[in-house]
Amino acid sequence: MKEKLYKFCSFLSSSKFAMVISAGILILAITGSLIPKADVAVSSSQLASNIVSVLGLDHIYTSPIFITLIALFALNLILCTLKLIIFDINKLSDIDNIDFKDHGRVAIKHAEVISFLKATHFDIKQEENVITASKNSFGKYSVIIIHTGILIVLLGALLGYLFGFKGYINILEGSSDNVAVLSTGEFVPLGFDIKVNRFDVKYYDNTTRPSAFVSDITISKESSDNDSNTSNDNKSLNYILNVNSPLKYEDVSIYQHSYGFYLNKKGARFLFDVEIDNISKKYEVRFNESFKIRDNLFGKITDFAPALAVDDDGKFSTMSEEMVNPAILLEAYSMEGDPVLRSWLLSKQKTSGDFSKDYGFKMTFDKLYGVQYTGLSIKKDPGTAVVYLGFLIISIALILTYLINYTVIFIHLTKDEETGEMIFYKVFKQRKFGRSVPAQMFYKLIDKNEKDI
Amino acid sequence: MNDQIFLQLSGFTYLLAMVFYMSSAIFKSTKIGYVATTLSVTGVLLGTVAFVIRISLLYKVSGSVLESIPIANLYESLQFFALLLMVIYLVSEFATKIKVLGIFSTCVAGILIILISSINAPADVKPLIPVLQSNWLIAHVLLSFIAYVFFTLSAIASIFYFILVSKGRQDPKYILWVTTVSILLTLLLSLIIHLIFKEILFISMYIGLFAVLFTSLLYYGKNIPYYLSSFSKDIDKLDRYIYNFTVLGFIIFTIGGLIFGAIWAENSWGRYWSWDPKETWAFITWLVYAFYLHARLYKRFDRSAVNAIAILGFIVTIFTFLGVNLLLSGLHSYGSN
Repeated sequence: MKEKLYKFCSFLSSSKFAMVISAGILILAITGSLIPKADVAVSSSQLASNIVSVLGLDHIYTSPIFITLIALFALNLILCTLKLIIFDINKLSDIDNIDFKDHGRVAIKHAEVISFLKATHFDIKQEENVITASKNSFGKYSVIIIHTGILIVLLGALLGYLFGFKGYINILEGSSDNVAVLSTGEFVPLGFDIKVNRFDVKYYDNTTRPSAFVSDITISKESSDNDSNTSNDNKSLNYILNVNSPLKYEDVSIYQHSYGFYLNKKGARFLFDVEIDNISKKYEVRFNESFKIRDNLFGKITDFAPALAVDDDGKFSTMSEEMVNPAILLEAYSMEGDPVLRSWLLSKQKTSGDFSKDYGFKMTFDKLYGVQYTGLSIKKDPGTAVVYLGFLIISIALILTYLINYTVIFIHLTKDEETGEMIFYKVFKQRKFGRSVPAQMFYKLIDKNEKDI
Repeated sequence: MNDQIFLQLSGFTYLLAMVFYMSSAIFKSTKIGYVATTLSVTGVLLGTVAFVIRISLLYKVSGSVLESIPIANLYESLQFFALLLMVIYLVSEFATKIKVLGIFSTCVAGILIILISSINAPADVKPLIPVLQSNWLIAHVLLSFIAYVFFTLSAIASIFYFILVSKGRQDPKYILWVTTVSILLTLLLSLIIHLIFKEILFISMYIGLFAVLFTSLLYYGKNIPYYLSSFSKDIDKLDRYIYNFTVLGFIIFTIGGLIFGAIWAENSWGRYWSWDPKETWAFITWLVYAFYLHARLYKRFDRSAVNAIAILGFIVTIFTFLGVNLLLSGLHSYGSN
């Protein structure tokens, strides 16, 4: 029984097992990367899409098979690393197992060898007539450290998988929300309110190429009944959320993720300036709300569009669902209610609101407010710090492994009747083509003495 | 000023250099070798001019130097990759004095530049979209590209290694290098033909050309190792070259490609790893090269088997670099146009 268990363990830690597991992971990963494309292609065929969903091919990376393979990979890595620790740290200096007769021999004065090893800064250990000279001893830990780093990353991923979540939340400009939706459809209460004060898509000048997606948000903690008296609870935090600059708040991170247009006549606000005789006045009105432009002239905004363009015939058409060039329709009428003017104002075409010649006022349309929602993604992942620690360990250890070439030279001091003092030696190098090769100097010493004979 | 004309000139110069590198190897002439190196350096200078013009054009629309490094779309990345490949190749040529690898390096650089015009990669100067506006862009993309270049050079040296060690037509090593060289040459010739006669159907021509090249190399290629036999003394040097480029590539790819990529993804998408096709293939590339490093330690794999993994790694690298963007859609899709 014990023997069987030992055999099983040594199989789990074998390179053969590592290869089988890696091959399995590779095949599943490749299949997974091809499926999204294939999914579109086979969507017409019910059978094919049934096969995809029954086999779980549409969510390979979260499937039990894939996770099991990753777990087995981690197990193999743990056992291999333990093996490395036992072999590299203990076995290598076990000089009893080395048969020097199999290795190099050269006639050389013992004192010369020892002074050479000292001059080239080898760590020397001498037991009777056997010398163990080592250099760059840290190198024997470096591979172990890389493997440990990978395991730490996997541990961090596991922590995130078990205790974290990733959800989404869409909030209309001007409103607020406090519940995120997970991809599984579950709701997660956040414990605080997110209010979107303003959302803007900024464009590079004269193009429809976006330059920034910006959400101006305010986070406020819901005050619970018990401690509503404490002033701290009403603290709120303002933040300008940008792609690539997320907000960390308590234990979650909030990211600018997406956005969209929402035809919301009730909640829409129109922000514009009216200029009469060089005096400008700011307005904020609702849909169909009457406002006074000047004496005996009133206005109403009766329609709006996210992106209005004028074609060659002078006709208007909506060119995009995105707010590339928002526009509002102004209808002006006299005190008696007689229509006076009906015209589209385009935010990017400032002349479209210039009525100074005929009606004595100029209107500059500034913003269409409340008809866009911002999509935020909300994440809680207690494993991220652990993953980063693993990253740091891997990076440093990889570089050190390349730079440091652990080298051990075993030397048996002996004598020969013909040549006098001589040595048997064996050189162990961690890497044949390392960046530094401490053994090279030793080889030079050997070469020199061989020529002397 | 237009950067494309300088880019095309540099591509032409690389291909000219390729002819000279080849002649220098066959006729064992150091003088021809000098001409080849001079041409390569000229090509690099032309490519650098194109690169600098592109930076200045981007600076005009973005107004920030950090956001003006041309590495954000397919046109720019192919151009940059070709330049980086030749720069690093030339440094390695000066350091190791192995000139014969110039044949394949110039060939790959030439292919990349012709590819830009063949697939009509849009060359419009466009400022960065929001998700790419990050200092991680330069760190992540630049280091990934350097790693890809190292993998390319290690594969090139492996192909040459197989040419040197192959014995006779029955040797699998012979088949391996004949196949890889045929693929490279077919790609180059088809792209040139496609550039001149646009209407030819690409796939059928590619298959036809490959068949012709493969058969002729299979039958008449056995003399090539003989012509190059003077390089046989360099096999150990070549092995060291392959190892060093693979290891350096692996380290830079792990840190710059995977780790920096993950940190950036965490910062902008809120997820350090999401099994997006590009990430998946980067992981596959990483696994293949990790396999290379481990295989070197096992006696089960001899030197040829290990170097064959370096070539396999290169094929996977090409797919990660270009295939994923051209064929699969995902979060990294901005690289496809």
